[in-house]
Amino acid sequence: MGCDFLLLNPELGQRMKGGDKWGVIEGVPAYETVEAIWPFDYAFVWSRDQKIELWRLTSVDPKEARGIVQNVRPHMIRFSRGEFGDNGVWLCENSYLGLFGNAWRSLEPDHRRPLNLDWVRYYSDQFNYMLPSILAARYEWHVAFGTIPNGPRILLPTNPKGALKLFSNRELEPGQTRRGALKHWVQEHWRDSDKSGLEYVCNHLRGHTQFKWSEMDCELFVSAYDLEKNDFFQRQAAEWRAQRKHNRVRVRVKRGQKSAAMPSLGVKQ
Amino acid sequence: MSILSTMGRWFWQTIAWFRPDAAAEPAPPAVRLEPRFEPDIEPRFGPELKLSAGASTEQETKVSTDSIGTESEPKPKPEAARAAEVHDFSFHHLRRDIADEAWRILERFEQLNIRKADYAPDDLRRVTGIYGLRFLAPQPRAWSTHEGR
Repeated sequence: MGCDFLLLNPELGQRMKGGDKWGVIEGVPAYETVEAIWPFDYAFVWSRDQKIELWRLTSVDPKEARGIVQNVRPHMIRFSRGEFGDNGVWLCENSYLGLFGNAWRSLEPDHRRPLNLDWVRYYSDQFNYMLPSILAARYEWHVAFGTIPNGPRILLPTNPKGALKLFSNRELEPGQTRRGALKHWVQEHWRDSDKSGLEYVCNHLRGHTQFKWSEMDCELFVSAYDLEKNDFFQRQAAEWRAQRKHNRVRVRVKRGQKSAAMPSLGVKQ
Repeated sequence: MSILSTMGRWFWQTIAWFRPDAAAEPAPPAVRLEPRFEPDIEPRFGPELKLSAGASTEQETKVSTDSIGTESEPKPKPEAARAAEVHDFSFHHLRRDIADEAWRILERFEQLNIRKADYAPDDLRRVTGIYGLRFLAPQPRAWSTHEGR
C-alpha cells in the first residue's frame, strides 16, 4: 500500500487543468476551510533547490492527541515531513499543530527549533495554501504517476478533456492497434436495438483508468464528486425504469385490416 | 511636438502625391505570420521518439525521400487543422515538462527504495533518531484518499 502525493507545482497544475488557477478557493479563513474538509488525510510533494519534500497532513481527533500535545485544540493536524536532497542528505520529522484563529501553531515543546516566528509563519502560510487544495481535490480529476507497484505515486490535477488530449500518445497495449478510451462522460441518449427496442441510456462514466505513458504506470482518478454524480444518474435511471408504465407499445394488426392500418402507422412489415 | 510631427507627415504625403512614379511602385509583399516551431524542442520521453529495434536512420531517410518523390504537391492545411496543430504543440511542451518533473521525483522514490509502506531502512532510521521514516511506516488505514477508486 503506497501513498499518493499531490504535486505542488502551480505552474504545471495550471497548464494541465486550464481555466482556473491552482487554488480555486482563495482568501477563505482557515477555520472555514477546515470545517469543510474535516477529517482528512492528504499528502503533497514538490521539488526545489535540488531536493524533494514530502508532506503528509492528517487531521487529529482531540482524544487521540491527549497526552501527546500540551494544548488540545478543536482542530489539530499531525504533520509528517520528509526532505530528501540530491546530495543524499535527508530529514524526517513528525509534529502536531493546532489552529489558533487563522494561524497554525506548534502544540509541542519544540526543542529542535526554539521559538522562531519565521518558521511558525512559514508553515502556517503553507498549510493555509494547501488545505483549500484538499477541498478542490474533491471536484478535480487527477492522474497518478508511479513506477513502483503499490508504491508511492505523484498526483497531478487534470480534467476529462485535458486528460484525453494530454495522454493521447499513451502506449499501446501489446497486440493492440488502437488505444482503449480513457474514462470519460457519456451523455444521456436513446439507443435503438433490434433485440431490446428503444432504451434510455443515462449519463454515465465509461473507459479505462489504467494506462502507460512515458514509461510510467499511470492511473486516471475520477473526481469524488463525479463518481457521486455517476451513482446518482444510475439510481435515477433505475427509479425511472421501476416506475414507468408504458415501456413498449405493441401494435397488433389483423390480417384483414393490414392494408388499411399499415400506411397510417408507418410500421414496416 | 505632435503638431510638428503631424505637419511633417502631411508635407511628405503631399510630396509623395506629386511624385509621378508613386503609382508605379510595386506594393510591398504582404507579411504573413506563420506559427514558429522551434526544431530543437523534442520530448525527452514518449513513444514518438523511440526508434524500433530494426529501424535505422538510413531506412527512414529512404522512406521519406520516396514519399517526397511520389507526392505531387503538399495540400494546404485547413485553418482548423493548423489551429489544432498549434494547440497540440503546447501539449507537446506540457508532456515533456510533466514527464521531467514526475521522473525527477519518481527516481528519488526508487533511490529511497520505498518498495512497501512498511519498509524503513535501518540506517535511515538511525540517522534520524526517534523520528525515522515514521510516515512511511505501516498505517492502520489506507494512505490514499483515492483507495478503491
